[in-house]
Amino acid sequence: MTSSTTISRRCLLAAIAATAVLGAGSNAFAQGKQVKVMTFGSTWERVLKPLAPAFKQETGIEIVPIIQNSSAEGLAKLQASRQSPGVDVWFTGEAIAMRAATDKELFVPLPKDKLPNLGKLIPGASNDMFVAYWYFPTGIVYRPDLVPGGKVTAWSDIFQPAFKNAIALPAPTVYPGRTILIASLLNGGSIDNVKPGIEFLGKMRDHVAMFNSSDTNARRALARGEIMAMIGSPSAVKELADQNIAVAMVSPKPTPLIFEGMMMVKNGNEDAAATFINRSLAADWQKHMTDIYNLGPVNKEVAPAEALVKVLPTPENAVTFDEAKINQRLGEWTEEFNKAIAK
Amino acid sequence: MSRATILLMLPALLVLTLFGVVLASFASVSLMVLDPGSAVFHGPPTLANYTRLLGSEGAWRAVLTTLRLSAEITVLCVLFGYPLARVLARSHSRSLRRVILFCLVATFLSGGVTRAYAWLIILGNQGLINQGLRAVGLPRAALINNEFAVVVSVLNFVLPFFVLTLFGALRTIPEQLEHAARNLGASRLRSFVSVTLPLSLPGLAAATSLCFALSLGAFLFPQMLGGGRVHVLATAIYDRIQASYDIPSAAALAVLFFLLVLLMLAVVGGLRRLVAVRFAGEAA
Repeated sequence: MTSSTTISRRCLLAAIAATAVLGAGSNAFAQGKQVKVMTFGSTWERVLKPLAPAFKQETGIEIVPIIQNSSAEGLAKLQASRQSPGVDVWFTGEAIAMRAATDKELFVPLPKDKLPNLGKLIPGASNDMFVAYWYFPTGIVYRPDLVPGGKVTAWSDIFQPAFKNAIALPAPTVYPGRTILIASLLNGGSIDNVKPGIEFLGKMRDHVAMFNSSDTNARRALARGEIMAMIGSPSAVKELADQNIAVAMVSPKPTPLIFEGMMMVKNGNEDAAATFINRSLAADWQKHMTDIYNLGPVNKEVAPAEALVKVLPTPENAVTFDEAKINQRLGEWTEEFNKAIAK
Repeated sequence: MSRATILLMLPALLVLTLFGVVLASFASVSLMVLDPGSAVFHGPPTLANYTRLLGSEGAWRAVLTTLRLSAEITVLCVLFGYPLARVLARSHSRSLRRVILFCLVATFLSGGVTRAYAWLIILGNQGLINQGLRAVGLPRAALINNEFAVVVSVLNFVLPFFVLTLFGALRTIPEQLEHAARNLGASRLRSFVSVTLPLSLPGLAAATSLCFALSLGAFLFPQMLGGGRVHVLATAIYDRIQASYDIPSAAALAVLFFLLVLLMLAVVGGLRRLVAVRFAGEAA
């Protein structure tokens, strides 16, 4: 009796030990079959989450989301835990990506040999450290039921008296500096001379209902009818249309194009990260993204979503900027802008 | 000091050490420099960020706006909060006390973002107030995306702290003293001005300093309801990171902010001691 009790105790201890070892082993295995992606909440929910089960089935790799509120916040977190970042792929805009690329200890160059889909991308969508997932124009998103005549065609329209206290322009930290750059180009300035743009925005400060610090704030104000128009992306159009709110978008001259995408973090899991990035650039994932998110696919084999085609700028209306210059000057521009707005 | 006392103090000392380490790391980052356009900051230690900030019109404007708004909110707290705390402390109606307490606790329990969105709905161009104004034929009022919205929302945030702190102090003042003053012929107003108010001043000073300190650190409400026009210190720090990823400069501004709060609290603390000595007979 005593002997059998002893045996069963031994058996039990052995079983616990075996379970612990197996558990640790399977954890280690599972760890190797994960890709940790730091991304925005809406990107995860709308774009990546629906694709995650099929990706796991296809590659055996589980996508683990880590949500960030903004690219700057994400970068600060990555830098603060650089010894063990716990992130394999980081989503960001092109401007901050160029800034982040200077941190050679944290980010690794894209392994081009493991990313065959890079060859299918539109020009300008990738460099050594960054590859875009999508691009989008920042034009005028408006409510046809609220604007005079039901239509907006040019930037000058929203600065007419009828739009007083009914437009939202992004603060310089949103869509890095684009509000200042659009205002500058409209008023005879350039990326090297933003003074006319900042002066114009200063004059218009009482005309503008809000200089929104996030796209969400402006989108919600547009949904509630607080404002008639905002500077935004086709993604905002899609999100509002999905809520049965009648919205339209126009991309007049000049409409900036912005790339947003991914960087690879030095986290010891580069193979899984490369598999994820390469899959993101494949035609079926790009098609899903453009249909769901209403942003432009970077894979040239994929046609933009039907709703997007209507709002993309013509080549002569589209503008791109030197992101390195924006990185260098945005702090100074923001200070000048805040001064003009506070006057 | 006994061993038991030291053991009891240990958790507090650990927490204080943690705070100290965080502050020291902030201070050390503030002495570094960011290369323009990069994400890497480095030494050797320099005071360049502080020099630049002290000469920055934007930083000074943020300091002055923060101080002015905090002072306005504190004054409004006293005006609205004192009567509320007095009713809470003196009312014989249990239901009234319960209703007030419920409102205060409900405000505590609702999150900041929820409250900010609630104020967007109330103060917006299509909000409840403007709908009411339109219904009676009045023009729309600009109640949002300005300092007014920030003051109202921060007031809503700090008022429960103010009322509950002052309520505790008012409860300690014996009601019999007010009755005695009334029996000796003082009017209600005279009894309040000559008896209750002076005795409540130490509590009032504590409540106002708490309210002022909380207002100084407000970030969410200026960011969500200020419409990009209300630049306080907390939003200025955020802007420095979002716009230029200048973490050393943001850290320097945070250190200056911390020193400013310490200075303000020292001033308020000094006034509090003066009030306590004058009206509550406490040793200086």
